[in-house]
Amino acid sequence: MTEPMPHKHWQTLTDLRDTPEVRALREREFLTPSEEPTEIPSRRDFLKFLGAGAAFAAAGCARKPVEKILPYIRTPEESIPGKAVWYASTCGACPASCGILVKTREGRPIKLEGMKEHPLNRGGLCARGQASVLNL
Amino acid sequence: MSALKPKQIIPIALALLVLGGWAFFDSFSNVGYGPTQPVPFSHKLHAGVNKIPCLYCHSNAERSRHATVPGMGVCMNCHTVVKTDSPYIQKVTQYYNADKPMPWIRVHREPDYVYFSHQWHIARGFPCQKCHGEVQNMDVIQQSKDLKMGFCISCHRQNKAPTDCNTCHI
Repeated sequence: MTEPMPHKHWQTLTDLRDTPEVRALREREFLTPSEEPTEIPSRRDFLKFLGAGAAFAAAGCARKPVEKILPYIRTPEESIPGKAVWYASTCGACPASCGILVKTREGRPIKLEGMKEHPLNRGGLCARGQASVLNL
Repeated sequence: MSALKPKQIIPIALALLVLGGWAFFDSFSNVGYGPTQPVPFSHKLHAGVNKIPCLYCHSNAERSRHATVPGMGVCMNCHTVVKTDSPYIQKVTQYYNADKPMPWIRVHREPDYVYFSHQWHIARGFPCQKCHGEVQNMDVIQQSKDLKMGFCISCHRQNKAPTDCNTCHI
């Protein structure tokens, strides 16, 4: 048996001082003793937990959470909740500037598509262009 | 009480599981849910007595998946003139003038994994009451059908509508 390697780095100043208390602590992997039960619970305990679990599950799911539903104050004319609005635009992901269609829901862009009528990309849109929806 | 033998416990536990499971799934039902709204809006008065068509306010039902609560401008179409002395109407006016939305409490709600389109059902000519009950007689709006899968499927079968999984779960 060789000597244990001397310390090259320390986690705290207390660690550097290397008192017997620190050495004792270092021996243990976890600072708090494990509380995992080492025995299999008895049938009685198992049934207790089963019953309690079922009761809590039933009580906890008694009702759905209350949800608000907020109306527009002055409804914008072009926007219908649940319907996408498409805008024609130009892609800004690279200097090629392909023609794109932007799908928006409630005013937010959610998808870019290539524009079929555009002479440059003729309906295509590259991966960079597709991903640039996240930059908007 | 003498201890139960394992063989005696099994049927009791099974019965409890079945009963518990039934109670658990039944608790998802929303029938009769009619929370107190911020303003006691009466569908009975608007749709029943005054016979305002459902689609006057819920106009998006024929254009979109969602029927939607009307924008507050729709309320103000009439209530800048009608019954302005009521404290509730004054509350609505206050919210409207302060650019604040009225925090209605949602009653009808399908889970996110259900695709339901109001537009298609309205286009097919189904009365709103088929799913929403006799709204024109409700002072406080509440859910009257459970709107679960069995409810949808039985109506889809009767009307020869598609019953493929991906009709609603897309």
